[in-house]
Amino acid sequence: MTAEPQMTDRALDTALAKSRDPQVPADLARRVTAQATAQPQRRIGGAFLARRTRRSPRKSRARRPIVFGAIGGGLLAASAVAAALVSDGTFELARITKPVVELFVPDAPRETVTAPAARTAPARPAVEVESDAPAAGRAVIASRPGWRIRQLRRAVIVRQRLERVRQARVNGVLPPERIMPRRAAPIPAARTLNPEQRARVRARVESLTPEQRQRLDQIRERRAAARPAIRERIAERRRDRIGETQGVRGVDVPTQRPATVSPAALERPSEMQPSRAAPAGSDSPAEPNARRSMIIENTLPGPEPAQLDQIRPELPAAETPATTGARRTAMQERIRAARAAQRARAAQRRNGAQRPARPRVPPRRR
Amino acid sequence: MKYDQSRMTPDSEPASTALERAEPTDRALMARVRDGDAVAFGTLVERHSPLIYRVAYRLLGDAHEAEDVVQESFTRLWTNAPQWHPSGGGIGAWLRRVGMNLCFDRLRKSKRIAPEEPPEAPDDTPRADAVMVSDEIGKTVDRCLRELPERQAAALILSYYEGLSNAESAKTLEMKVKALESLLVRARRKMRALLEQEGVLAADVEQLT
Repeated sequence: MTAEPQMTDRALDTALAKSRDPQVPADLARRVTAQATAQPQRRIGGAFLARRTRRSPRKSRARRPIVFGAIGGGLLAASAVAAALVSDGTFELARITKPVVELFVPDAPRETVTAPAARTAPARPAVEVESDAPAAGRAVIASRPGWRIRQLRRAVIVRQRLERVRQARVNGVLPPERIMPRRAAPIPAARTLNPEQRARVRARVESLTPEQRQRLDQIRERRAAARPAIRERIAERRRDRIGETQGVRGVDVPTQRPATVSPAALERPSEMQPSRAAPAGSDSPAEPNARRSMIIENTLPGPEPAQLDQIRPELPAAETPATTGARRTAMQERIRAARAAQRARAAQRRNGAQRPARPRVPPRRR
Repeated sequence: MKYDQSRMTPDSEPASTALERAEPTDRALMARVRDGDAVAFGTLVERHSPLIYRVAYRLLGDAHEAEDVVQESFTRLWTNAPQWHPSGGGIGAWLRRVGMNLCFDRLRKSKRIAPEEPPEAPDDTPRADAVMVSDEIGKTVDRCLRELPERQAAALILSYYEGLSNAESAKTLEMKVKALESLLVRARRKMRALLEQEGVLAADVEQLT
């Protein structure tokens, strides 16, 4: 049994040679030429695109010189502008060396550098700060009567603690801390009203409606539940502060006032240096009972807004409960009339003739 | 007026210039085609269309398809002639590449079965049996060529039938020469296997030589 001979390279070449070349049609070139030349040539419009079709060597391209030239020109221009500003004095280079905080402080303390003293001379401060800060600090301290006492008490407590720690280090045992009880403040004298004020209060209470009277009783009961000593103390402090503030501003402060101070308002700091100028809201010094204006002035801060109703003086004599009720009624009438007018305008807008009629859409035919 | 014949005689001018005058190069023809010269374009078509037709015919196995490929290749050349610039392998390589890509596109779109060919009339000439065997082997070879992968078939056709160098074939197929050589080896191996499947044996082929 003999195996069939495999296809060799030579046999493959011979077999491939047996494939005849296809006959090219005689008129193929003519037909192809006719059909191709019937088509329009695709011309490129624009000078820029036409220039891109021709290749240019990379070295001759003026791309990098333009970029570098633009950057260099920009730097030159910026440096020229900066030099002009510095020479003009608009920019002060010395400011760069100073702390940045000084740029934002409106009235920075000026430093006066003294001449260097001899080494044998006694030590003197090299820098003298000119400022009115100590005077302001004294004024603030003076406006707070209990501040110095509290500071002294705190210093005593700290000293005691330091002593305890020192003893603990020596003995190895921490002694118990002695707590100093606070002295109770003296209870001020009860508030008294003069006969005229009493008569006015009585007349106002008698003119109250049953509902108002009931509400007043509820308020009295609620206040009676609190400790009178604390309440009176708070009122006393409150009165003092308001009196100081208004006395400085030229307002006549009555000695007695209803003690309706909210404790929350007392927590707000108001111990600032008072301004000597009269507030803009007060019409004249002859009208001490004018209400303080709500316009924000360019002066040092006065009492907080929560205290404004407290510093409001008594109502004028013409302000009786009857007039107050009438005013309230008139205000309610005005509000009611405004709401009615608003409702009328809304209804007119909804049902008015200005609204265009909705176009009628014919029913779809099926 | 004296005429300087020493400079203008045909013997004095370079051989390449004389050859170019007789048969202009592709570059010169394309420069004229870019300006819309239809005569120059006809010359280019006559010069390059047979090769593209043969390659397309062997790859596609259909004369009409091959004519369409030639037509589309030269239409693209005409329409894009204003953007042509003389570089690379010249217009011949560009045309071969375009024609080959068109053939590949058509092969991918429809993998056709070779059309049934009409039976041939009996031949009564002497040694008719040898001619018949030769034709039969040639048709089998054509059929096996079309069963090859398209790039292997293209490499085989360009290198073997069209006589292009490996560098030219590689440039036409957009690959490196080493890759083309490897492709040719695989194509020959595959072709050998296909011919053995079709029953063409080495003994039958050697009888014809």
